[in-house]
Amino acid sequence: MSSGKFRLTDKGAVDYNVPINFSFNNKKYQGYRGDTLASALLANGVRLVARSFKYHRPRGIVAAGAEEPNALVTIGVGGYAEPNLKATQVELFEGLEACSSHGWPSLSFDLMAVFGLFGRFMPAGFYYKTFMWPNWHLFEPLIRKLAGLGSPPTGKDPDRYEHRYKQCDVLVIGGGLSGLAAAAAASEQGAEVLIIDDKPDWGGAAFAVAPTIEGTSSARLINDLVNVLKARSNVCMCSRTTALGYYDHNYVSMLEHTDNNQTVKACFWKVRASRVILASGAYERPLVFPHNDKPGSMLAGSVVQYIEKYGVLPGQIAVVATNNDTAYEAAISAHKAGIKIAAIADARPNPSQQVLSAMAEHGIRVYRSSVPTRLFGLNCVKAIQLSSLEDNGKISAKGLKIEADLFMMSGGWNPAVHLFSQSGGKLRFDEVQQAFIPEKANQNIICIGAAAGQFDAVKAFETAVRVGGNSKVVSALPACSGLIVSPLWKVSASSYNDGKSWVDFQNDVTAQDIVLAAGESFRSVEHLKRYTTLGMAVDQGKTSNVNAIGIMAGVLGKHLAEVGTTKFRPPFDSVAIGAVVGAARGGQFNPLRHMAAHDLHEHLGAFMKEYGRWSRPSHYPQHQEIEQESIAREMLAVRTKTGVFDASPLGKIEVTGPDAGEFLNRVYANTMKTLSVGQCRYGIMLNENGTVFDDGIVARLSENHYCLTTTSGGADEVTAWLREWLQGEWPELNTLIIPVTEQWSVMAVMGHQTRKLLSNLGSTIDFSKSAFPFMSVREGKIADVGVRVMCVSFIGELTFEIWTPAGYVPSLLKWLCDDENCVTPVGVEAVVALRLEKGNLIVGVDTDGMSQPQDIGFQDAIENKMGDFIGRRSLTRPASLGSKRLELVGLRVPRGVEPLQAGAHALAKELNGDSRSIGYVTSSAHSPTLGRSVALGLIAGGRQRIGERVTIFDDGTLYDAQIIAVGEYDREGDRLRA
Amino acid sequence: MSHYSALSLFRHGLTGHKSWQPAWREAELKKRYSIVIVGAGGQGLATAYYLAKIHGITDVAVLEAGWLGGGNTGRNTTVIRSNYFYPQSANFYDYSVQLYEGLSKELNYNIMFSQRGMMMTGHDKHGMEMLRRSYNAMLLNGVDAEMLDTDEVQRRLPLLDPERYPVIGALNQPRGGTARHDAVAWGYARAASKLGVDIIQQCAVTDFIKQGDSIVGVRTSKGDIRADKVGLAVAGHTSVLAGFAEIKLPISSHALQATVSEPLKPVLDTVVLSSATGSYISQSDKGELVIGGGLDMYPSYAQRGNLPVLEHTLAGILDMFPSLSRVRLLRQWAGIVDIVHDSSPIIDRSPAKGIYLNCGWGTGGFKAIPAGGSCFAHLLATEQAHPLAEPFSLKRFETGAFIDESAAAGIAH
Amino acid sequence: MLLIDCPWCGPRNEYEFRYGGPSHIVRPEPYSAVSDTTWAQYLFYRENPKGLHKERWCHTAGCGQWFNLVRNTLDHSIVAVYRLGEKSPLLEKVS
Repeated sequence: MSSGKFRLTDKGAVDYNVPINFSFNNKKYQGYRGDTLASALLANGVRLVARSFKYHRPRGIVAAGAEEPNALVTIGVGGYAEPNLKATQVELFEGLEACSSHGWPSLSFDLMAVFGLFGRFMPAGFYYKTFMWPNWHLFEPLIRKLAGLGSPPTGKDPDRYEHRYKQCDVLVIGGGLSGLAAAAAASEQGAEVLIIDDKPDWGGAAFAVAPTIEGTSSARLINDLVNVLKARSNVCMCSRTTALGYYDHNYVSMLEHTDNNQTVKACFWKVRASRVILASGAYERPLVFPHNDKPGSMLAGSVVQYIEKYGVLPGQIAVVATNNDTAYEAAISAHKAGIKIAAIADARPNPSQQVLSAMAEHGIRVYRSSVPTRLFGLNCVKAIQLSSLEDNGKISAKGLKIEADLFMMSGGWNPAVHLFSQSGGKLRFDEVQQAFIPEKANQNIICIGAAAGQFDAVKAFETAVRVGGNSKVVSALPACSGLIVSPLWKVSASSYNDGKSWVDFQNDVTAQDIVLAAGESFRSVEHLKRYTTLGMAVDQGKTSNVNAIGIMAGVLGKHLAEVGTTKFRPPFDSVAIGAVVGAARGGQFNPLRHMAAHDLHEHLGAFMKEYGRWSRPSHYPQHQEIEQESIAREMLAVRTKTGVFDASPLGKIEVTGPDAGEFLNRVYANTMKTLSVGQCRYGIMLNENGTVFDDGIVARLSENHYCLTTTSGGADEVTAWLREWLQGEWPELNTLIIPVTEQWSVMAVMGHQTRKLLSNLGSTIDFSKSAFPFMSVREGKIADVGVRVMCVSFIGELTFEIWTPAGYVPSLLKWLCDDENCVTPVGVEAVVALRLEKGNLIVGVDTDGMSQPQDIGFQDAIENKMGDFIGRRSLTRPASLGSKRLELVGLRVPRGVEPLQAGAHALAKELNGDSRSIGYVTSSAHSPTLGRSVALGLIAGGRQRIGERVTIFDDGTLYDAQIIAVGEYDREGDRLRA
Repeated sequence: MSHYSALSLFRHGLTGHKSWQPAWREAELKKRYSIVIVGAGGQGLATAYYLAKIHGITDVAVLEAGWLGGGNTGRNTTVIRSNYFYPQSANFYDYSVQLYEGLSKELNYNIMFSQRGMMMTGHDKHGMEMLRRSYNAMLLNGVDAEMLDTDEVQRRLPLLDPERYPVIGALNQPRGGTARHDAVAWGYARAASKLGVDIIQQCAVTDFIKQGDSIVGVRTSKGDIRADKVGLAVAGHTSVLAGFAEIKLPISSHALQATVSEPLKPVLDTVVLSSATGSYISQSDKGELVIGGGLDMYPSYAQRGNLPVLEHTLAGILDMFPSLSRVRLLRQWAGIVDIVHDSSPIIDRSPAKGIYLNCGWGTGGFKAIPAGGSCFAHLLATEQAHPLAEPFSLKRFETGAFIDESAAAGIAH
Repeated sequence: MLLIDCPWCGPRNEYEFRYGGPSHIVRPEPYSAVSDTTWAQYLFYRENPKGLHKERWCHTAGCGQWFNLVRNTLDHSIVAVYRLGEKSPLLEKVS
């Protein structure tokens, strides 16, 4: 067990009193509280941590944050496994088990590295040029197996995720010095402020890159600001929180990781902010040159982070290469921490006198006009070759080889403008900083600090205070300054055989690939990205995209701005699917609606099933009944005795006012004007395209008061629909629409003896035939509770639908099913089959999205109706008038034959003839009442063909059926008038 | 132009891949063409290719405002299938699948058409009856199809472990699958360019040139171009272009979004669409899970996805495959699709003389690229609707003779 | 996620609303005198602008009222909200 010989005990924010044991690739190590997996591995001298995607190259840690391209690890096992986490973002915890996401059979000995040897035959996009003969299917299985990083977890995710919502005046993204200062200034003014940072602690990179601000140590400043913010009640501080997506109207999604002891693994935030201040810092760019991908090749600024923040020395002897001044600060930091700086190679001929004298002071040798041209070493950097850059931009043939185990590079900085770009903001390319920086915002967002290209710590601080305190600032972005970068997008290799210069480390995209892509027409950034897969890896190109644009610009002889950037897409950092879904799992996903009598149904033995988001009794199996037996028993009970069906999910809408009748007459395809008080009528609704989209009963309760029912699933749709017509098209109608689906429960009591039964109900309603005829409605009371009762029928038997206020329905059901009344509870399946015997259609089952009223037997009702109604004009278009329309008919099969399969088709001609479909079976079931099966179907020109035989096709088998008129049970309707 | 093969790849490998030729020519824009096609997406490029290949018309320019293949061709979830209900749709889309099956060899470009099957799951009795209706229709239309029971679905989808919406069966089209979407655009571009078609990128059409009541060319950011015929193949932007000629179309533009995960070892062998939630998923050869769902309901030209739709889509995926909960998403994006009432395409003359339309693809234009391109080429070359495209005229919006798949099959296509 | 300023209830998240298509579409009448062409134009043919779009929304999970708004289809910014029956504000075309 190693305690970490690369550890400085006088530096860093880790807690050396709390050692933490962890394992990596099954080997045990120790780190400290406050470490990331990356810092702990470096502290233990582990350099090789991963293998790349395509060539399985050995790779080490490059960066210290979300931009890390190499160090992908899988944490945990089984259901807890999480593949492709960046080691730089994994907080160390006791017992952590990590392994490299790639590499077989082991990380250090990866047989797949053989692909590196064939690399020359596998350039970017090689697969588009081959694997065509004999066909792709031959090669694909192997390629699929080779691809992929990490395996997904097995089993259910044992963790929980939550969603949180927040509104605030100011959202500050990034808790570095700029962000903290802006948050302090904004909250000073009384604004509700939310400040977030993806790290567990505050301060960002400030104390590493800018140790003092005008004499005060930045660590002190940070500490003071954090204390101020913590004390303010109008400030909410969320560490370990990453802003992921910037959506419309300043809506930002964020992910908060809890630490590992919480029951909730992560919290997905949705924040609506009046103003967003983006202080997300900047990402350093690697240098592109041959063999630049060896473990031990790191970003200079990240090396400083490891030293200052974690007290970790990533190496002992370092060579620094740069094209800007920031690497000098890094060199000094490393030097002071005890890393020997063997050399600094600066691509610029004339670095500033200020940095040169500082280096001289520390005895560090600076090579001007020098660039790295090669890294040596196998699984770790052993030496660096430097060459001088001649005036004509060529590399001198002679190189200087310097031994070192750490290579620190800085190719300039990219402001982290991802969220600004997502918000619709425009970027421009800044020549001084050689970077894309924010130009014009499209939402209420402003960038500050390094995210705005402001690398001067003092100016950044001032700007942050000003921006934070000024709620009026909208899009005036502060000027950038503090960084001068000399373009160095690629160190030209003198020949192809010099070795590959890696641009996208994770996806193994090289400078050579970019040159190839340009030569093959893939010159736009999007083409480049897609052809080479550059920037498509887990890091989404945070370290590679701008370098690639620079290289492409060089190849094409264009300006970087002309080449442009790819669109920044959410999420900013990869996010677990489970976190985005949150609690919408299992029963919480599209939750089911329960009826008021739900518990009683279960008590009565109901088997509950989902019907259009409602949980309803499917059937009530008794004793050892199977489903079919139960359904048949329930059906016969309705036909011979009495049954009760809970119809509460029926959509219910009240329509009132002096013009309610006129309104309904325009809304329904059949006439509603003539409906008199106390009457009910079945009606169908069309959309403007003439399609039947809902049906139900309209009851006229009083002069200006109607109540209508809709299909169970259609209540909300119909309500919005009616309101749109009333409010938008006919505002002159004095009518009010009130949805009351949840307010009323409905028990449908069915059977020829119902009148007698209900006369014992103790209601104020007269259930006698003369007082309460078929298709009428009555209002009254049962024990002081107001009820409505409709005498209607869906199933072809005398039925009273009793509406009670929702809470009272269980007692009604109890009374009906008690030992004295013995009414049989009937489920949805029996009712669906009963109505099929009668031939009543269900919209959406026996009609399709093309069905018009004339197709379902309403041609006369329409012809007789005066005046316009919704959809009327569509009924006279040519396609509505043809004789080949699919019309609803009955289908009869001989007694003793199994029911037709719903979804079977009818064929144009007899057996073995024309096999074109002329329609299909929409509903089919066995009828215990009739002793044979019954079916409905939509058949082309069906009504003209009543009596004809038709061939039915299902799964290759043909069946014989006869087309008959709709409805087989009680065609005369005597049962309804009982 | 270099011929692509394993051998050529090997030869070029020995010389450092320095002598590969451009995939398509940097064409010099001429002042006039017989036919100008606006939009270098899959549809536009395929149209140009078939004009040259089948009709021998090579005096063709394809104009692209951005970069070729950068619209919906490069943004979709790459599903190819022909599991349609109506014979008109089935004939058209199955022709497309057939062309796709031979496309890599025809174009000498590996489009990686992976026929892994396209499975639609059923979750309740009614859902299964609707799938049965589609299944029988497919058999009668001569399209391959199979009904799978619960056990077979489970065998093919080992990760399946639904909670809210149990799967009780599925309808599968074995020949369905996915292809590399960019490669389809690039392959057609390369082949069309080789046959003499000029592909002009970064060339935005800003207006039409009118002469009397005819359109005789286009005004572009690179100057005026005369043409006998102008074909529009710009999907969600068709209304904008048609607006230059003062014509309205029965189209509404909406954002359709997709999302992709990190690359994983193979876990999902087929394309799966849940008919209960509308979410669908496949795994690319690179290992990424490619996930799609429903439309954003309001019109949009912003090519980005919305959060509520993403959440719902992902919830649907996790209900089917709960073990994907810890898998991470890398990107979320959207394309602008051209929605028409019946979700069937429009391949027809426009009301303005000289302008021809290839649009209305809605959420499913990618799978129709070869058929759409060849039928549109037929119309442009012969002035006659291709027999397969006859039903897909503008006339149907007046007559009401729609080909509305979701109406009959209950499944949004 | 749009933030929609319901003219009756104030600003609410998009979740609470239902989009109902373009507004100010005039229904041709009387039905007996409307040609197939006119009817098709009314039913299906749309401006579909890239830029400002006048459209109808309903606050379904709130007051249940339909209202108009003007939204830029390019960036989804909402530039005006007004009640049904009110005149639409004069706005310049954006694209």
